[in-house]
Amino acid sequence: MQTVWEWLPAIYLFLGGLGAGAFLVAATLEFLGKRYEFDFCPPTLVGAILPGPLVALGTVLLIFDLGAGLREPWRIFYMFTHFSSVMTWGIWILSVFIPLSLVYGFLEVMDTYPLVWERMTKRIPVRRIKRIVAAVGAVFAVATALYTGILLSAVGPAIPFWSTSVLPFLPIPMMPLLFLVSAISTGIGLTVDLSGTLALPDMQKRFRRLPLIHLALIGIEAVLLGLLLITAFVEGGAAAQAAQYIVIGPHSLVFWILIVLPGFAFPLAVHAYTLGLGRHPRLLHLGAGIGIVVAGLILRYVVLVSGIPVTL
Amino acid sequence: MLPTNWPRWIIVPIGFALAVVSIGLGLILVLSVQAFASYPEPTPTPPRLPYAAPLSMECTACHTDQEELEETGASAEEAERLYIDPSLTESTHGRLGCVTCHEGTPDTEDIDAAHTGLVADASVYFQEDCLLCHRDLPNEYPDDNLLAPHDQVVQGLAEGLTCSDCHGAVGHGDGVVSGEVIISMEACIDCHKERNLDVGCDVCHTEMAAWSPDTDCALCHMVPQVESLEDANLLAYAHAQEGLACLDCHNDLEALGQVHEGAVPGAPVTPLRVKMQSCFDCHVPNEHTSYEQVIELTADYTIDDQQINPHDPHAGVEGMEPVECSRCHQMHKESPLIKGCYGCHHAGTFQNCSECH
Repeated sequence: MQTVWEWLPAIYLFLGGLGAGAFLVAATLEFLGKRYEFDFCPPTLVGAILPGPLVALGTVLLIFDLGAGLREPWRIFYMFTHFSSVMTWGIWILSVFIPLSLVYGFLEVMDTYPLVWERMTKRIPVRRIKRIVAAVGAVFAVATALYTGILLSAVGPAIPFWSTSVLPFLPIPMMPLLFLVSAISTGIGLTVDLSGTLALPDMQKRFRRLPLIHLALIGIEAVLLGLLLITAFVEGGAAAQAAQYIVIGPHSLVFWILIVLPGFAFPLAVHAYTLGLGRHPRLLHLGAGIGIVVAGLILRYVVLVSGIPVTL
Repeated sequence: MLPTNWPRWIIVPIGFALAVVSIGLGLILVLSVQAFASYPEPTPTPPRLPYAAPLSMECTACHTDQEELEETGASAEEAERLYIDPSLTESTHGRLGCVTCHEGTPDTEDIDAAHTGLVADASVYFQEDCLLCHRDLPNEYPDDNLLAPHDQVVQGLAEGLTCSDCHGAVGHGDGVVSGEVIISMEACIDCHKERNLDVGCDVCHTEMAAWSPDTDCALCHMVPQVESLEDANLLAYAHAQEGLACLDCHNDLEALGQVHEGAVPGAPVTPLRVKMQSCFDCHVPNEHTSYEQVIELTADYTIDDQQINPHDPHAGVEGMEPVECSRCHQMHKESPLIKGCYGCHHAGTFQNCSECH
């Protein structure tokens, strides 16, 4: 029986978001044609191959966490038909997204190493199929990233902080939006800042607009996080108590030192520096990438441990 | 940055390793920072009840279909009692699934097997299951000026009392979440009477709501005033049958406002005697032509061989006001009639006070 929301849910929500975000980065580069400016494009390769395994690993952890599915696996199949449940939406989204990601990864490998797959690449239009898979997969990637937040806001009535609305007068839950933007940000962190910088030292120079896009995303994520906390304070009750725990309470040290600093302040400074001076210090980009990815995980952890249940 | 002799595809396993390392790094960093923080116990979530909605489909298939219930041999009346509104299966309690609270045998079409081990009133047997979600039940609701004996019930001090005794089949509709009233005051009073407990207002109410002419009198004056409207032996009944409401007789709103001002639960009710004129406003045009005629009706009345007119008992006595009708013709309890005179004439005589005092 689960008595606390701690690391395990945080890890699978993070893996779901990271996989979805990485897929979206690869799909975007695919559609913008940027992928074909390189004979070897690390963000696309990593962003196409890793989402399948990452999200699948997250799904295994989710099933492990639910427990009942391990003891009585047939109960998982009930979840496919219970359409009024958010869990059913999720299980359908994941069931489509994971195979699509694996196919997309395989197609990207074929496209990157055409000589190895010469027999197959001659017979099938790899790039055309890859585009279709990327387009459909991108829709499900957005759904997966949103779902990680919807999963939490669905618990909303019991834990008000998780269903905090975008604005006090706008009854749209913030968590799915925040997790979507955070997913894309961690996706860029992994595929561009980390993998790209490691494999192609001049990659940041060749994606001139990338620092600006990433800067905007981090800014949007910061605004959403700020709004979440303000709205929770305005709502009062258990939601305000949770926000207080995060900003000035027992989780504040983790929040400011391990989320705000490495996930927002440092990457903002690095990308602003890159944008302003046109310099691309690789070590700083690697640091920003690690900071964004780690902060993405810790953000989910802090949101989970700060959820204070309402007393019925 | 990677060594040039490394294959370029190595970036994929490195990327995967970085994702996994990030998780480890996150764990270590959080634990390290928490070592310097006054970290509280992780917030407990409500412990999960077995989520048995999928295992209750056979229950809902039958109990949400009255025809199906009748096909099992239940009478129309019985079927109606056992029928569950389908929308309730999606309520907060309904989503837990029938077998979570009522047990029985899940996931079977066999009616006898399904009902083996069935518990009709879950809270009698599994009160702790209710308490999994309904923790920290308050003993006072300040916004409603209301007390509730939750501690006594939870700790077993209220003998034989369990959740459903007050909240009934709350799992089947009258949800707390819906904001509907979850227990009626009549239910409280009935239960208190059954157990010979105090039924005074202050047992549950900490403060009175402000009175206005629109206030439901039954909230505070149920016993004996409002109850008397249904007792055919009492005069209030005859008035209620004529369609009269409380304020038709108790029509001095200013006086009503004054007696309710500062009233506290449990305090004795200040008697507000209905004025003779209020009675005559109705009775003169309908029954009697005048007060004089009423006096005339009993002009020859004798009590203890003395000729005393009960409708004008103090005639000729200096300084005495006419007696109000309601002193002898009481509405909400048995009328004392002539015995009402003995309230003052305590020796059972009708001499003037000054003859003894």
